[in-house]
Amino acid sequence: MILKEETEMATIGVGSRRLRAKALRGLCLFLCFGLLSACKTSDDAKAAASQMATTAQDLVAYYSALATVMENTIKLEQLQSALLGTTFEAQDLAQLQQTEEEIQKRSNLAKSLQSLSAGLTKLTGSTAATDVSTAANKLGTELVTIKELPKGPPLPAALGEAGQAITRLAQEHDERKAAALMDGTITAVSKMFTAEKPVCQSLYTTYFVLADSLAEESIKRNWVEETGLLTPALQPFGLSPAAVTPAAGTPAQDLSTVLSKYAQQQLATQAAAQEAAQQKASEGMDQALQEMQKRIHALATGSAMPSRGSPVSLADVEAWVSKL
Amino acid sequence: MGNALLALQNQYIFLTQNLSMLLAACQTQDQRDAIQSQYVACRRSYFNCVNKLFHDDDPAVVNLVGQMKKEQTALEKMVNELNDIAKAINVITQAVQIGAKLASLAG
Repeated sequence: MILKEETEMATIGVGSRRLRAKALRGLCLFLCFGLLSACKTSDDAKAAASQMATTAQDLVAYYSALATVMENTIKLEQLQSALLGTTFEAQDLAQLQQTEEEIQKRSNLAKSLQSLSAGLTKLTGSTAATDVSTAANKLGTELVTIKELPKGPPLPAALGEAGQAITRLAQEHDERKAAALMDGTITAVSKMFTAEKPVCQSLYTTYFVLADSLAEESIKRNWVEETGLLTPALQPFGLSPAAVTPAAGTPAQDLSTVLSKYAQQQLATQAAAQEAAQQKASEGMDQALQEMQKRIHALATGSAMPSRGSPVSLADVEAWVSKL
Repeated sequence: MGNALLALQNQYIFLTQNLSMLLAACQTQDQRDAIQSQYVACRRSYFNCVNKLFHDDDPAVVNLVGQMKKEQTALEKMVNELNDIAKAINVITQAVQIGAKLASLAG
């Protein structure tokens, strides 16, 4: 009897150990899955944050450059008025300033997006509730005050709602939930850029045509010092162009005629190159915004992130901005 | 790009590039004033359109975009016939008026 009880106890003991071992294995598996899942979220969050940081930074630069283009357009219209006598009244100035203000609003929006991306980057590593909250509130405000450039394809309806929803981001303190709150906003910003891209390109094209026409007019009127064009040939030998005032029928005047034509060719070549550079910058910006939107969406929904590699390069945007 | 904005952009670019030449071809101050006035109207229409960026799927807009294309061709031909500046001013005026109609459909 005692022997039987001891045997049963031993059996129970073995069963219990087996159960404990099984439970332990289960716990280990659960923890491993949990850790793997956390690692995936964290890696995804880092990839999304890095794309967002790069994109937001260059979006700020893009809109700032476009604001500069509008400022310069106003100056050129005033110059054209002085040179050719075209009317440029207070109403014309107000019309161009309205466009400039809308671009400025988008620049402010991009700055808020940049602050938010900095918050998200901190959130992936530590705690940044206050930073994120501040940035999210600001972005919400920018999104609500912004209007289409100006009417026409309406801003995605999600924009206003997303602006309010994102202010809750701070309380969530969770990468995935944070991304879910940002998802609509980021999509709205990306769609807005795509819809407005042709207008941005048009503004740059007309600005450059106006600058080109006034430069050409200045060359025609002999107001431009063209001998600088000889510099590539003279500089290696330590030579510099002669400072001469062309007189009719002199070789110096012939040189001026030749250089005038060359300067006009230079204008045409550079105008084409600048326009192409702006188009590439707009395409690159659009692509980066779409990639940012995809990564945030993947993080929000827990779906497979298409790519966690380096952020989409914005070299074309940076090259164009640097020339303004 | 919306076809309407593109049509207005092309007209504005064309007149900007040729403004100096058109003014030089004028024989009277009235002619110069007419060119200046049409140029300013064209610029205002373009920026009006930029500032509204309207939908151009409206049939009225589609129709006007078609007219703008014809007027643009006429403008380009006109540059080679600047000896008749009065005729050129008429062509410009007609084209700019259609542009103004197109821009007024905004919003």
